Amino acid sequence: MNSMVIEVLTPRYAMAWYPWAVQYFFMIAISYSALMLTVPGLLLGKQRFLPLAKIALLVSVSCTLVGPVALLADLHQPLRFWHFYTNITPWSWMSIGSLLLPLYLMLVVAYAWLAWRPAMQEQAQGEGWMARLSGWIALGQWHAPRWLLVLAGLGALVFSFGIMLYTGAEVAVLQSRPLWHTEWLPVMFVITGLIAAAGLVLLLNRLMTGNDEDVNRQGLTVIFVGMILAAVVAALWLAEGITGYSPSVQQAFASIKNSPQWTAAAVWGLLAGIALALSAAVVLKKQVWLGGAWLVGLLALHVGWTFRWMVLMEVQTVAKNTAGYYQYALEAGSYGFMGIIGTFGLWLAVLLIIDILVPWKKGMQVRAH
Amino acid sequence: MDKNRRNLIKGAAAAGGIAAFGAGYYGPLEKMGKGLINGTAGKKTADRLHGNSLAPEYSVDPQTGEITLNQDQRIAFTVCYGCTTKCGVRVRIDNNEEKVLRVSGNPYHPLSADEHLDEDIPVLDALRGLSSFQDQGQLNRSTACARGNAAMAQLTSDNRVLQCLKRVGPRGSGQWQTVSFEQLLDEIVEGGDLFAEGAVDGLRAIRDVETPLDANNPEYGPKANQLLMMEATDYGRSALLKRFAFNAFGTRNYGHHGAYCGLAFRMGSGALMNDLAKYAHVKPDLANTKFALFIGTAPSQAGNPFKRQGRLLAQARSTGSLEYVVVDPALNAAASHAASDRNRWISILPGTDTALAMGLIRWMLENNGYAADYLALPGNTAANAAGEAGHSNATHLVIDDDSHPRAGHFLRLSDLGQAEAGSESDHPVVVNNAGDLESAEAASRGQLFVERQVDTADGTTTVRSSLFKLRQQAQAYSIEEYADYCGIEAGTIKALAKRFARFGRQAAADVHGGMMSGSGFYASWGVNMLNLLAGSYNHKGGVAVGGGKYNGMGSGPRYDLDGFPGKIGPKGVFLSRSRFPYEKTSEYKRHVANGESPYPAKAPWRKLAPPILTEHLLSGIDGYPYHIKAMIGVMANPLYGQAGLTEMIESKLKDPKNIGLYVAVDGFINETNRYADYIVPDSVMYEVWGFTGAWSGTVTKMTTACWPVVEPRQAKTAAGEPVSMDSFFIELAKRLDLPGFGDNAITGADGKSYPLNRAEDYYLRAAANIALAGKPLADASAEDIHASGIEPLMERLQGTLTADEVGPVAHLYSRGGRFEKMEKAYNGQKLGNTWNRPLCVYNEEVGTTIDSYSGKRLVGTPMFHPPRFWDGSALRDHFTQEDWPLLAFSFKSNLMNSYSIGLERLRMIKPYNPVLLHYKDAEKYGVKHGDAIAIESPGGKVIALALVGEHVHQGALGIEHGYGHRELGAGTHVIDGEKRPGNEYLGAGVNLNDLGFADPTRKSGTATWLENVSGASVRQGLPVRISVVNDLI
Repeated sequence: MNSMVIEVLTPRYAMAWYPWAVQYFFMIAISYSALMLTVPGLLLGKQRFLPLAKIALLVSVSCTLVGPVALLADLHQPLRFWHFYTNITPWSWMSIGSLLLPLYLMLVVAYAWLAWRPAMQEQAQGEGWMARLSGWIALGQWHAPRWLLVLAGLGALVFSFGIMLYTGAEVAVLQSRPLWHTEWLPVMFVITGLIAAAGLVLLLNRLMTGNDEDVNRQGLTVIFVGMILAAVVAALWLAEGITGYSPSVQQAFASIKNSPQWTAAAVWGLLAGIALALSAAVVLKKQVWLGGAWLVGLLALHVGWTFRWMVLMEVQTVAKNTAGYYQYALEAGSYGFMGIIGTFGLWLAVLLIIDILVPWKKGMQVRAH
Repeated sequence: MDKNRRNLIKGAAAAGGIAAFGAGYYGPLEKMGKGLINGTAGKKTADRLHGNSLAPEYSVDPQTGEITLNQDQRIAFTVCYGCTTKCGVRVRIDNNEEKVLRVSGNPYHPLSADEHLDEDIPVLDALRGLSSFQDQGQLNRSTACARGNAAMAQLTSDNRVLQCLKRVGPRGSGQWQTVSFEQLLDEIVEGGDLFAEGAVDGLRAIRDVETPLDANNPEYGPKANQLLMMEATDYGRSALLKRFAFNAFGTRNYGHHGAYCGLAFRMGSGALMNDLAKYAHVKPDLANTKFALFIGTAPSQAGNPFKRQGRLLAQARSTGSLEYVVVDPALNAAASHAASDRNRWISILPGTDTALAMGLIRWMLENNGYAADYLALPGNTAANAAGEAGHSNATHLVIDDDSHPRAGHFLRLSDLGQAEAGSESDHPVVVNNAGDLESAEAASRGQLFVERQVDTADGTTTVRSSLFKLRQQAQAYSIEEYADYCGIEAGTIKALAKRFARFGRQAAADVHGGMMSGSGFYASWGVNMLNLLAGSYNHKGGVAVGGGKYNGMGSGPRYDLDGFPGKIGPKGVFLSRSRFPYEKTSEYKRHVANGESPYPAKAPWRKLAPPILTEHLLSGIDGYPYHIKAMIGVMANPLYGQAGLTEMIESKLKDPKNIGLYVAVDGFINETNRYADYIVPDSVMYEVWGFTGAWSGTVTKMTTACWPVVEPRQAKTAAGEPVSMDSFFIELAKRLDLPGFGDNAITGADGKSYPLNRAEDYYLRAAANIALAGKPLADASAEDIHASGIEPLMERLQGTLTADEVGPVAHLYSRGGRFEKMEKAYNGQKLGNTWNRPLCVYNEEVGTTIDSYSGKRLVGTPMFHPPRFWDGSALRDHFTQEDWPLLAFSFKSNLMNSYSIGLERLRMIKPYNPVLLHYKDAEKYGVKHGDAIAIESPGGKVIALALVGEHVHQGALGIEHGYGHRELGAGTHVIDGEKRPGNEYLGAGVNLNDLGFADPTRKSGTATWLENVSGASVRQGLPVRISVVNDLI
């Protein structure tokens, strides 16, 4: 090695994507996953799944509304978003996403509106400002046929597949980051999204709907099955690298194998995943512990959020043009800690406002423990 | 809970959420706001496509070639101070802000171009040739190196000294107050109780050119010798400094960085080239050399002129036919895979170069690997007849018998009674082809290997030819023994010698700072001897002495800048005891008179060496031969540059009783002048006047014209001139009423007297001498003047020179100097500029000089010896291999020089210097790549990071030079009560010289380890040991 060789190709780069991106990916994944959780109850009409569907619908709407707000902040100049629509670039996943996202959002809102309308109309019959407000929101007393709801739901579902595809693909398409460049990434995003959505449902079940037994059981099942699938996907990804089937995955391993931080993160992920799967299974088995399903839900949320944090932020610290790692220190302000807190704050506000205004629990029969 | 109460709580929580969101979304909202108002949240650039790029200084129409100059900018040619190569550069300046924008090369300048433009080409044509018009740009482009580009930051550096400073508080405490230039001069001239520490002798009191300073030793000279003048090197302005020091003030004592830079190399070369006065040296004619051997020099980053050499090397090894080998303890940028089979790196143990040189010489002498025909030419007659530029003394006979009164001298005709001793016809004697003794000027050829008895006027004696003696020295050890010593395999040495010899007169050996070891003089001589044996001196493709300098500061065609009424010839023994044989001292005579052995002397007397700063300072403090009373240093920094000096001298420098007055002239505060009593702010590069010389390897004659292309930023004198080295010496001389300065100081060729009151009085007249020497330069045209940015200079020209001088001098400055045409470089197969003195296989001066320790004659040819101390004992006798297993050495950085640490652009690329360690040594001492290690020597200890690999010789530890500073921005100073904090990052890395140590065989506290013959500071091959540092905070 020649000490005369001086690297000049690696100036300090600022992080390209902010924690805002993590928040968006988290919110939108819960959004489309929760949407899927409403299908058995609301679209297929299975009574057993109705409570699950109702909570999931609330989760889905609140997350769908907050996600794009976070996404906007990730743009280095947020107001430039209109460029997407004047420069449509069909070969770019992000461009496709810019078209999908508003439509998806409108369909989810329409779906929820149609689902909550009957209860709103009932509320509008009452007295006071709340009743008057409900009347405006319901936009009249006319009865919306069921097929409209189904159509809206199906439409939202179709677009959610688009969202699933584009969010994963826009990250996985980068060959220059081997840690991202795998077809398994979009799959993993969806699986961890389902896990996180189920987790949030379990948490809200505990806090807002009296800890319904069925919801707990169904949520835990989703988590457990999701973890099995996640393990399979992870094993397949590792196999691709170990066997040399994918040189890109091999590169990915090489880029982090000497880092004690990454090794520690991998170990943590493995342990958390095992803990989550086990705890879900155990709680499902042991009826007496079913009331503690919300704790499993918290762990599921942690797994879902941290997966996205590792993939979107920590992977950016792996240097692209040289060996080694950049240091990323979370800043306190908007583009760091406060941004994360702020997103959750907005979500909480949206959740609570809907909760105050919309009798979404109407018709739900809770079977508590 | 009541529903309304619940809702209220939920509402409050929601409000809290919104508030949190507000706090978190503030950033994006701010950006959106700025975007709405300004169209961007960022800072608007001048152009939407190419940002804030500079407008070009001129543009060339690609069709017609017409040039349009940008009126807001100008370019001007001057010199670069980025290193001692002193390339000619073109400086691009913003006319409105008077700010330097960018620096590139001067296409007229031989150091900045492959084939420099003839100076009669108009400036606009030269500028056009730098553009892509007709694709000339790639051919003619003229560049500055990385450091040359970055160095412009010096002008606007926060660390620059812009006012005259006087110390407040003890020396070295970093406390200063600004004073006026006039007050500074008053105080240093008159002296007094300047610092409330007691009386200080002013310069007026010290300047006594009559009274001897030591009545017992009258040869020491007058009291004026107690002023020591220090300088970094000649940057084109030294003539004025020397005029003041030697010929006006009358002190003998002057030193520059040579003794801690490359003096061993210079003296070894001087010994071979028969020049132990100026120490001529050569560089390979890289454009035509077929095989080059670089030992202890890296032409891509050091060994001036390195920019030119680096370029020629790259060209020669890719499109030319050069093959080369780099011998160095470290792998440097000169050896590169870019040249694949054309080059090799051979690693060597530091300080063992005499072994390699003698091994190569031995092989060449035993295997007919030398230019026998050329070496057999005994004199000028034979050389001229053979069409050679000169001859060697290979065949000359040396009286090799200690009992003979002329032992060590050449056998001359006068010894044989055939001529009068000392007359012009008293030539050396050779043995001709017939076997008879004949005059070297009469014989057509001489025998190369002669050993016989000869009858002389003083008895029968043994004589040996020079080449015989060289072979004797070479055969003292086997090649295997040499190989063992230097760490290169014997087979490699033989193969190297064979390859070198194969290319005959187009093989060149090049050497430089790597020779600064404890055996450096003989090592340098030995390597240079390879060139002599190959016959490559003065030969095209061999080694070139260079074209030399247009000297305007002598008694030129227009003005005599050398002589002046009242001029003093300085007298006396130098503080460093150089150039004066010990045997001539009163001290010696006293010993002999008392019947005592005069040897060893109290300290080295080096007859062959120039005055050297490595001895001046410590000797002047010790008082042998005498004390220094005052010191003036211009841009000098020996405490950073001389191995082991800081440790030895720091506390002594701080005490004003040792040296009463220390005045520094410098643009920056460095490791040495932080102990000064006064600092005079000097101009920095692009603000200075001067005329520089050229290095060997620049095969044409040249000089660079330096002038202030931007107004100097520092304080002004009362007369409105910038305070600088020039105005300092001029005003100081006038205050001291010294001759040679002030009105009527310069005599013109017209017999009139001219003043020397301002810098330009001197330099513009030197310019006239240069411009009108030989064939005078043509007048500069108006376009030349405008395009080369010298309009601001014209007024000064017209005010100082005569009418007929203005035009040619303007021409000189409009080209940035005077440069011999490229076509003069070669004369058939010979170089255009040759060195005609007889080249020395045996140097008579060296062979008759007596070592002041042993009392014995020095060996008069290259020889092998291990690095040694003054008493002749070897390094390893004092510092064993077991205790000090590694040998530290330094090498030039390709980016950083010894005073460029403040340049941020360079530090962004290389902020510190990890030390080179071989992986086997690392394993042995438990060091991993990147570990912090403590490096300890007999004189010091430093902590560095280890760069472990195969890029250094096993047993060696490599330290890149230019880091490990304590000043030049790293130290904190308080000026007028205001703190100027140091930047600790400028102190990053290590300085090899902190590992230097005292010579254990000299009087304690008086000397660092210096090479015997030259007095050069030893830095290559310092014994060290290393250990891992575990508890760094």
